[in-house]
Amino acid sequence: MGKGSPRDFKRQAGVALKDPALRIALGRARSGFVEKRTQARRQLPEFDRLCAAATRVRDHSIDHLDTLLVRFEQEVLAAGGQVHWAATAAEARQIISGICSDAGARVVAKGKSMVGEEIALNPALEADGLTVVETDLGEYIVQLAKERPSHIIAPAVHKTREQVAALFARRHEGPRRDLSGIPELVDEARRVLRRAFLSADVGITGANLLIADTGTSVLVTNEGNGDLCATLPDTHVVIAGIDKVVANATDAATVLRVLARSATGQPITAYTSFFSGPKRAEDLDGPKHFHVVLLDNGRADIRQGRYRDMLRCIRCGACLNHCPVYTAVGGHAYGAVYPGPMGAVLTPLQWGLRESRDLPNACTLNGRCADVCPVHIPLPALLRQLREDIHDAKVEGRMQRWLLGRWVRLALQPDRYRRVTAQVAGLLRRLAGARGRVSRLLPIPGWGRGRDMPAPAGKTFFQQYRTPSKSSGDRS
Amino acid sequence: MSARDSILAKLHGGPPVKRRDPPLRPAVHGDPVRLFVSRLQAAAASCEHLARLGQVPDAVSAYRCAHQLGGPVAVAPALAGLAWSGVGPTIGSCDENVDLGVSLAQAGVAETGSLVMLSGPDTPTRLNFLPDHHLVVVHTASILRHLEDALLLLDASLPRALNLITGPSRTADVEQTIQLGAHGPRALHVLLIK
Ligand code: SF4
Repeated sequence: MGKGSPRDFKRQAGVALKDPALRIALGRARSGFVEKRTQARRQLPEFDRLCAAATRVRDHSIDHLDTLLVRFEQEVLAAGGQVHWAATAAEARQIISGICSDAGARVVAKGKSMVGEEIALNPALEADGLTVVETDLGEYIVQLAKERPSHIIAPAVHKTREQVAALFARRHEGPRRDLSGIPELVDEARRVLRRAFLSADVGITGANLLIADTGTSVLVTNEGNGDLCATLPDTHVVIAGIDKVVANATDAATVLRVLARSATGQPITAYTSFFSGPKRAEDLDGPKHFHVVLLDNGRADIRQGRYRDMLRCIRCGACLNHCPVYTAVGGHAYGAVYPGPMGAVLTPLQWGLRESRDLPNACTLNGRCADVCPVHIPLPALLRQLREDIHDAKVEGRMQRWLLGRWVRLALQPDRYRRVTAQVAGLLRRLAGARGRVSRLLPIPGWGRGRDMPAPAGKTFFQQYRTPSKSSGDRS
Repeated sequence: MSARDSILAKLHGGPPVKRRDPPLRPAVHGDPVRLFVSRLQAAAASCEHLARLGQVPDAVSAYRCAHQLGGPVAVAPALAGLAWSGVGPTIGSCDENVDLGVSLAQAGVAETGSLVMLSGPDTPTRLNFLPDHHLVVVHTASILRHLEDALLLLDASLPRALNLITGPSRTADVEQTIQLGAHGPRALHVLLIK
């Protein structure tokens, strides 16, 4: 699993719902995320106002991307670094591949980067004969398992500790040892990955923000792996989307305040680092060469259209953690790099409506994602908009189109509509029985396996409306 | 047209306008030093108050005793002037064999309990990430209130790296269970100098 396609969302979601280990893993993780964020929010009375401020910062960035990126570039050059622009994923891969070959690299240590996933960097570097080691623990686990991340900040959230233990026992050398606990697993990964850090010629990290005024790349981590990637090898490469730039350090602080709180519930992560160029002449350590690769890959086009708000995204993952669909099926079902609500918007925009037409429809429009988004992205509205675009582009499934057409015809004939809805409501009530919940819909096998539905009220709205009430108080 | 030009052509945004709303900062109530310490402790770091900088080598010896550390120690050149004969450290950056690193923070941030570490000839960055135990000296007079105050140091000196460090290394990548000592230091101990 984990290498699917957004086209197969329905089938992949079905498989996910029947995967017992996935149910356990998601169950163990879910409550943690939600509780930690709730607590962080409670502990900071200004939280909502800070989110509004972060939203303004991100809007300002998106409005002025051109000036900010040019300024950023100037400052990186002045600090002795290099800046590369990539319009497409292929260009970005080529640039990084070139940097590695110039460095005469054999081993590359990577910090977690969603942009790295987006451009499918690892297979490209491996094709060049390089050994690429993911050093973030979660990312390392999915690399060993030959999967892709299922969450943007917790790549291996779909795995139980037992699965990780079995994976390490299979893939690592060494005598039989105790891998039953999380501390043992973390220690083992630390030992194996230390060797990778020390032998790496190039370190590649993502960036959570870029600061225009100082040409600084900001990296937020808890493990310290990104910092080792940025400190030990002779060459440090940062890859970042062009949307990541903010004007100055004050703006960066504003975003950082809501980023970690929304992601993991921490006021700040263990390590928040600011890199500006290569090692200075007198420094005792640090990389000799420093590169930033700026990736467009569709972002400039998104900025020009109706989905511009999406570019505010700071990749905190809160919308995933609070989404009933994501927490039921996990990230792999989406078959794309970015899962959950933010992914259901980004994937169709980056990969095409036809390829990903099921994703915007896999949403209950409950609105929780928008409530928790620290930069106020109206995700349900964007998803609704995408549904319309998909309909207009005539790329939805034939069955869906046919059903929608039937429904429109029915809704345009009030008498028939009332008759049919009353009959359906009665049928559902009989199906629900005494429990009052429908968990089986006969013509749709498997419908009730992951959900149930309350039985309809005694009468349809129109039936109630027609019955004269005893007193006006009854209608409250 | 180069990728740079074609991207920039699409991004046309007009000259930056001055934003009117003042930047918002969370209130920092009471003594910033106390808040700094409590935030750091909440992030699983330990703290110790010392009256003078000269007491640092003894505190390092005591820490090594308490944790039964016999391996090599590396000390940032910024602290080279102290009486280290009892510890016998190397002065400078470090390799993977060092199990305790001692460095000097430029400042602290009360709001988050973060240490502000700047890279430089006297404060090498490896000390912050390679050793299992990281001891950091910080002067209480250098404790700032807000993140913004610390980030002003970027504009002022633009070091290669500014690391905000808030507690030891950790991961929650297996079942969202927090485990310390993922890649960086397993323990962070802060020596606060009056
Ligand atoms: S859409 Fe909002 S909540 Fe979701 S990852 Fe982006 S910033 Fe976070």
